[in-house]
Amino acid sequence: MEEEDRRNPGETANKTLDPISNKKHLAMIERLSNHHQSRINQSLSRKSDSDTSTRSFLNRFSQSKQSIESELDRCRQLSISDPEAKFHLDKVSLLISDLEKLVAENSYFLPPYEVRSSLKSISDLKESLEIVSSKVLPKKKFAFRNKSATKKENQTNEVKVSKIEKTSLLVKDSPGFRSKEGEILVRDFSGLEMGEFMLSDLNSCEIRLMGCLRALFIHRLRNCKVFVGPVMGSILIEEVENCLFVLASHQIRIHHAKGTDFYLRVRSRPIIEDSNGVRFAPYCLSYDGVEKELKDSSLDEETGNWANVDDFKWLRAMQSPNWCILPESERVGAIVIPKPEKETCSESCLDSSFLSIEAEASAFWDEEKDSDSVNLHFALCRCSVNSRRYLAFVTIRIPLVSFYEDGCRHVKVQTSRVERALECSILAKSRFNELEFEQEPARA
Amino acid sequence: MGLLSIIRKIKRKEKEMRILTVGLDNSGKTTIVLKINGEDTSVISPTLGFNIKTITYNKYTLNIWDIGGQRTIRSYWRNYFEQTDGLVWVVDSSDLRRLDDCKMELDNLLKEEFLNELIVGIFATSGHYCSFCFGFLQRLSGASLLILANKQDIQGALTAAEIAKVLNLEAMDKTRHWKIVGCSAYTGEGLLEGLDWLVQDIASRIYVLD
Repeated sequence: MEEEDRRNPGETANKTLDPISNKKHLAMIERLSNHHQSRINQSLSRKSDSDTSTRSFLNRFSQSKQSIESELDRCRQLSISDPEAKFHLDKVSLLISDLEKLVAENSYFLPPYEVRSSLKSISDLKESLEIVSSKVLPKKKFAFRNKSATKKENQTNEVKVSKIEKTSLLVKDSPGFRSKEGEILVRDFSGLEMGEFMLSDLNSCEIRLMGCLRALFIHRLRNCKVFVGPVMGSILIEEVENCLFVLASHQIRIHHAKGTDFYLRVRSRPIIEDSNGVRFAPYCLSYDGVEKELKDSSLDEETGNWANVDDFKWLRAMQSPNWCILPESERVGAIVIPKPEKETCSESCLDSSFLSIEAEASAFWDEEKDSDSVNLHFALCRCSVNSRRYLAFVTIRIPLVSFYEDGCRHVKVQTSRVERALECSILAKSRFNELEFEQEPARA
Repeated sequence: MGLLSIIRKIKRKEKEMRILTVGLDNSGKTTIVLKINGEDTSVISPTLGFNIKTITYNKYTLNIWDIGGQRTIRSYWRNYFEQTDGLVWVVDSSDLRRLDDCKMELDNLLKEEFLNELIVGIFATSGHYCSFCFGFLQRLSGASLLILANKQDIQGALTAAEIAKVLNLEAMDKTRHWKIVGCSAYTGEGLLEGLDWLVQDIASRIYVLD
């Protein structure tokens, strides 16, 4: 049965295929023979074709070879350091490369022997060109080296220049607190249009920033407590250790943080990178007016994103070992910052946010006992308040801390002697706490 | 040159451009791309990996690749270079401290791109498909560079001219087409000016302006 079964399909197939396959077979043979014939014809024609083209190639090749050789001979007779020598040599090398191209273009039909021999003669030509050029232009190599050396010198010069430029540009620093130890640093930006602010190289400090900021950069802080009002923009934190941060912002990036607690309100997901032992909790800062400032910065809503931390160094699905949520029992309570008194000057300035004092106005300042403020007294000077001009005595009251730090941006007064008269030059049209002071020799 | 002209024809039909957006983290790349695309920019998390946006701009289709800038993933930037028509380098003009970093990464990037080019170049001279590879060589070396000096709306930010000085852009390879534009992803100012230039510059190189 099985044998029959096996044989049957084959037979039936043969039977059914026979007439059709026969036809196909014949057609195929016919096509093949046609094809073969045409190929023979083609190859014949090609042979004659290639014969003629080989001949023409060889003609062209020998012609240009001869012209190159004669050109080379002419170069040989040139005297050393002839100004035209270089021109001639360049011409020869161009001709040689043209010849090379010719061989390459025609190599597909050339017999292998011709290809080899023509390549050989090209390399011979190149060699003789080299010899001639070394004779006629003996200093060529040296000149080349010399050239590259001067180039390098130029480059180093450029680097130097750019370095100088860099340092001069870096003089323009963003406002901020830098390089302090064991201090309480306070700034209030309420009602001001602040751009970016920088905290860098602080150790064992407490920093309180009130009011809206656009951007905050934090770099190299140790054992610090940082309380910050809303930042409408982003906060970038790098290299902090053993700190406490209370921050509100649209974006927060944390790099290289160690053993630090973050109390955040953030619109997007905060990220950490190269950090470990960092813990997160919700924002807990309050001071007079913080609610309004949060609202103005679209940060009034608690998104819960403080707990949605992405660790860029931990891409697995499971919880990153580098961060965790701060247990409620270990969280600090609500942090309340008492609002410092607003800066005032003379009565006429009380409501103003804009004061300018003529340059070169002289002033002296004093500290009130048991007070954390400084009074700056200007002698009779021309000033303008809200673009109304006055001739007046002006007194400005500034929180002590911001006076010694940089509450008056760029205050360069370092000493704390009382009742000391100073010559101050003030940049016209600066804001209250952005007055520019330059200390000049104190009066005797 | 036969294959190159075919590629050109295909590209012309598609009118497609591939644009890479890179820069340090926190420079505002994602915000810029979303702003250009007219999307909501109020909640944007730092980018892990990359985003791709396809935008129809004038008569062109722009494939904008927005690559994350965190240090961990910077080394992967070069994986995105291939067949890039335009490079957008975004700078946070208010981050004065990291401008050196920014300059270094930009230099690395351009060097990397140059290396890429070189490898293709060597391949081109060693293979039989000279004209084919030559086509890519041209495209790579030509990637137009747009530098966006972002965050101009922030008080105290450096201007585009100052950024150009710090990054020493004048010293760049003379064959490169580049332009620096001050912008603000927050207000949208300057974005279209920059993109206009980029698209025009790419178009004039690839499509041979109609």
